[in-house]
Amino acid sequence: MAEGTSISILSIVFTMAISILFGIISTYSVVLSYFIVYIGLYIFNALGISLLSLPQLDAKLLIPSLSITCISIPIGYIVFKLRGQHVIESS
Amino acid sequence: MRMWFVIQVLKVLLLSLFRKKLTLVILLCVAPPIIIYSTITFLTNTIVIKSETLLIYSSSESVLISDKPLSGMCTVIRYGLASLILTNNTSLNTFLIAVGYLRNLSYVLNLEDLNSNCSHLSNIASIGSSLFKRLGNALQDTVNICIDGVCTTYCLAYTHLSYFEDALIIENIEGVENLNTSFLCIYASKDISKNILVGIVNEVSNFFNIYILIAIAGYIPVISFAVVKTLNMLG
Repeated sequence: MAEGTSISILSIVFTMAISILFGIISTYSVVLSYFIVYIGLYIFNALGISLLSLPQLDAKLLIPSLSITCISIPIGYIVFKLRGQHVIESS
Repeated sequence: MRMWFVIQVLKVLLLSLFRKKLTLVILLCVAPPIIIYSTITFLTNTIVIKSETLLIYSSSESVLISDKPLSGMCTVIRYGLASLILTNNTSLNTFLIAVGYLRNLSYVLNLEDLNSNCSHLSNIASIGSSLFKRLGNALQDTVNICIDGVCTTYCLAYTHLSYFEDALIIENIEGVENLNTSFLCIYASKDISKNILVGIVNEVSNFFNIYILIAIAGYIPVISFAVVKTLNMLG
């Protein structure tokens, strides 16, 4: 992939891919944590043990995945600039 | 060129996703701040839901003295300190409220007729139930109430049971110009309680948001470690 392409383009490709990857995985974590809590409370409610009300699905829950995606853009770029060339050369 | 760029991004993305170890590393790095955030968000939502159930315990109405006429039912009043002259020629300093028409507030103040024999007097007053119990025999049907040394005779016609239980309420707003002018507003108590609860919940949410930001900021080194690890694994 590195053949014929400059380091700057590679760094942008890497940064974009990494930030999207972080976004996907963090969104997956949010959805997973929501469902774990929801299923847990649903089972408790079904058993007649009313601990807490069922969590409401809110767009606010996606704030951490968005912020992690945004944070990973500069981090990815800096990391690739600092260490990426070394990794490409060694591979 | 743009298409090539998108293809390259997708290629790296798919390569990364199919490496289970890499996905696991990222998952382990991003999970703690997300768990912290989700827990606090669920907690805040639960507080909001549970706080609304507390409104059942609110009474139907509430009375406020405000400098400005607020939304609700408001009437002009004057208030301040006055001296209540008792039968043994002693006086008691007490809080006094002057209103236009006492009977208009009978529902809110829960007025009880004292069956006083002073119908000849046009100035009528109501005494707070707590004050009435304490003074007992020291009161007659007519009482002298002095404001800034000027005394006026009032007929003690009612006792009010609901609010201002330690105060006197007189029906003579024109004769007490030197007292503070304000507004007595009657509110649906649930509205006030709801506003207070919403305010508290918003304050709690704001605090939580700051803590969450600090928690996520603390995970920046961990995220950078994950990015380095990703780069090494892809390399």
